[in-house]
Amino acid sequence: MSVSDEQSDDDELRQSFVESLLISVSDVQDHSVRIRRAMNALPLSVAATESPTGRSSRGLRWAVTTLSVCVALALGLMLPAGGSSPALVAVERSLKVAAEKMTRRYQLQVDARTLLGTARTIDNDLYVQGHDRFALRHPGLLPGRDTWLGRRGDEFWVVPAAGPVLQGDRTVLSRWLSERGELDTPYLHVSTILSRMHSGGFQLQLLQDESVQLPDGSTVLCQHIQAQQTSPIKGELPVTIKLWASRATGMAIRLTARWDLAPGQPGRKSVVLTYLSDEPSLSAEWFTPQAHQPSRLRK
Amino acid sequence: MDARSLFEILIRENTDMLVAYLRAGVRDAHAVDDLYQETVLTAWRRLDDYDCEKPIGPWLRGIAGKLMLAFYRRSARSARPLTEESLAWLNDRFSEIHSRRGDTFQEKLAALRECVSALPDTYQRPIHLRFSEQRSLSEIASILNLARETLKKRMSRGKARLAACLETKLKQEPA
Repeated sequence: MSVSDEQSDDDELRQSFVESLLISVSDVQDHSVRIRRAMNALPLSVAATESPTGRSSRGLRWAVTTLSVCVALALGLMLPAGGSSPALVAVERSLKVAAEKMTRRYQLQVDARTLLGTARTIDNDLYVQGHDRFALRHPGLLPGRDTWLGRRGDEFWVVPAAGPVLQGDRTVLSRWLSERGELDTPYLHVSTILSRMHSGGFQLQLLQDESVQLPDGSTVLCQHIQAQQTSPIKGELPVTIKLWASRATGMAIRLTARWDLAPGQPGRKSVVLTYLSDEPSLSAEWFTPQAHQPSRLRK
Repeated sequence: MDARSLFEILIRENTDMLVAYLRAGVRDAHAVDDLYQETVLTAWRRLDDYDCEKPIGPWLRGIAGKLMLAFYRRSARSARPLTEESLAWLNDRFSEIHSRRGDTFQEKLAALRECVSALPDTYQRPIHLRFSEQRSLSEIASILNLARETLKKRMSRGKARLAACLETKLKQEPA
């Protein structure tokens, strides 16, 4: 192969690389069918592996225990320094609980500063199921004018108070949120906040246990973990995230994320998630836009 | 939660990256689909080999890379098959993307968006029409009043500029 051919191959690879990324950022990708097909093609259990290592007898039991840890690690992207600290173990335990396919209801309170400099507090209802399903009710100014937004697997959606339902990939939701300063935060899901807390750039600290009082008056004894941002790149990251996780179950009972706004800067100042209840009666359809269109609204 | 559900979580978290990697290596959409399926199946079968203290993305790319090389060995069609060297180059670029700030692959691609925004309009417009609006080359040629060959050259130069810009940004300290 001549030098010019090699040069041409290099150029072609570079262009192919850029083209692939351009397709990715164009947000036309819906991988749900692809993932479903791949998952359906798997043998029933990892124990059915034809591994030449002969270690298949450990199979399923190994896979479950190891993968639980792997999921927690992978969702967090990077281990913070001091990887096995009690604070990190507590966050990982909460991440695992949050990944369970249980439906839970949280109050999501957003404190924001408006363009006029006034403070605004918005109470939203958040329903979560596992790490990739949520439905959030965002109250409208008038009764019955709520907006619902959510995610089911790779599909994101918004059911606005008026106008067409929006459905598609992540950008459908992020574009809608970015037009609404007070809600403009990616931290709308328990798993998202926990993952961020678990990622690099935050120093974790286990504080004294605390009892958290829930809106129904009951109290839950919780481990209290604080994540302080240490990254030199501040960006959109919260400066502190706090987790109160049930000492008994590991479930996130309360999560707070706080941002430092410059004087007069509009935007969200804090997000507070508080556990309200388990919702076993809600069907999987609750996490689709169809469940929240006025004509079909049902629980 | 069973092993399949946990495995699916890991796959979902990495599918954007994995598909982009395969597409960069083989370009053909059907081949990307087939190789994605094969990668997931192989990863499931080789779970024993995965060290979960390391990120799963590079492990999946390692599997996908071997499958791409095998694909090119099987296929006599390509005049420019993927080599081990080009695969290593691709891997380095994806590792650099992985080290960028962001929770998702999309967020980590902010550098590319910056590069697109910095392109002169001559190149930015056709790329926007092609990838954001998904127009065909004929449509773009008609909109921009360009001959098809001129458009192809312009697209190619635009992508070359993007590649250079992106490589420079990715080599900088992770943002």
